[in-house]
Amino acid sequence: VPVDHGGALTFARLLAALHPDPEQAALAYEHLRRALIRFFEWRAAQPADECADVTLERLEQKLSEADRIGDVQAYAYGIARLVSLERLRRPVPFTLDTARHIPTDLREREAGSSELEGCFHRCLEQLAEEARTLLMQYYEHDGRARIEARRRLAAMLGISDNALRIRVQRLRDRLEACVSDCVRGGTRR
Amino acid sequence: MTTPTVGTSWNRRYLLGQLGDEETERFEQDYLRSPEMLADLTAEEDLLVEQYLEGELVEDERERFERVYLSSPAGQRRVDVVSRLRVAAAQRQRASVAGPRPSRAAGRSVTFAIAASVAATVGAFTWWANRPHISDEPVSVVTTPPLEAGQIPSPLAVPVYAAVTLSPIATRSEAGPAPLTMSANVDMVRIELRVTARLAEPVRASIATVTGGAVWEGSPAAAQPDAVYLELPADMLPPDDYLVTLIGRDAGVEHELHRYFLRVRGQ
Repeated sequence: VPVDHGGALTFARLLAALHPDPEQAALAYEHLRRALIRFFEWRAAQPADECADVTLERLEQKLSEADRIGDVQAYAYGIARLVSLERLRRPVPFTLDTARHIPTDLREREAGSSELEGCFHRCLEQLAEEARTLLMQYYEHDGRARIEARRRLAAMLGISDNALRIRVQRLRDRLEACVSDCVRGGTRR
Repeated sequence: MTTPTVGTSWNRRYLLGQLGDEETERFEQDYLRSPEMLADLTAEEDLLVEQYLEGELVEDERERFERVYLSSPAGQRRVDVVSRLRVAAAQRQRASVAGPRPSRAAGRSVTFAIAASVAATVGAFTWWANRPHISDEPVSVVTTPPLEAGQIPSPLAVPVYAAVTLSPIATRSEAGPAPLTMSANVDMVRIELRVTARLAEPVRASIATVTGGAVWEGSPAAAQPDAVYLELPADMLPPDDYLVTLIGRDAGVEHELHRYFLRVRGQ
């Protein structure tokens, strides 16, 4: 029996099951994880990234036990549904972060709001100047002006409107993750 | 792909929880396979969030958005972050175009001229707490008059009020609500909530950020047949987007009378 150092073997099996070409397999894995995170977010199962990783771990485990799985994505979906049901059945702990949204007095209310605000600005500052500028330019217009301004921004960067949106979305995902970590960190203090 | 035609309406219906169980299952399996489909879906999500923040969703979509999408902590965080990004971008834009200080007053007048043309009439002006009547016309005066040379500041300085008049969301014009621009010297905010259908006696109101964070709840400071007035300290309304809910009581039963969208921007 081959020794699986740190799960490398099961991970390699998963990649191979996703696509025979290693490069395509890596892209398929990246997509699958991203899609799973969104799936859990939209199903309100949290933390979504942790749920996605649990799903992928179980999928890897299954692949190491089974001779062959025909449709890996369909199998992943089945596991994801189970994980989502498990999370939703689990009692949701009443965290201090949640409590911040149910303030009991003015001082608490102000503290919660200013902590979120502080986290947001700290995380924004952590982004590279170029990334921060891009986010600001992307969000600086309302309504109809927004469409035209984003078109101009994409043209200026020499990329398609869609590529611009994806670039901004990934930056925003990083920002959201940082804000969530920051707020959780603040809660632990 | 097993879903025959996947367009914007499918994406939107999925995000707003409008697909049936089987449709949802097929749809989820499909976007787990297809990067293109996931990209379309997340694009629709971005659009939905921005339309929500700009008050562009129709009543049914807004209600579903709040009930379905905002029930997820990730959804709440996303709306919160996008909202803050929009505020930060607007502040940055203002800072980059700001000329000499005197021009800000002129800029404010232009803002008010635009605001006057939309149904949600918004004004900011000096307001004394015991002023008997609120004008519907926005007035472009924000601060108390500057002191003349040699004048001694009064120890009994009146608080500076910013005032805003809001119309119920269902009757808002397509132009969307104009923001309430708050200067640093404003002490109190007075909100006039227009009441179009007086089906019950307004008893209380609540203010929450669009992401659901409770900000304020209390009784109206005053009421007239077609309007209810709220007063709260200005520092409770930092730049953000808010939902104001007016609760009424009829035959001892409380229910929502109207909902209003309030956008606050800093100077």
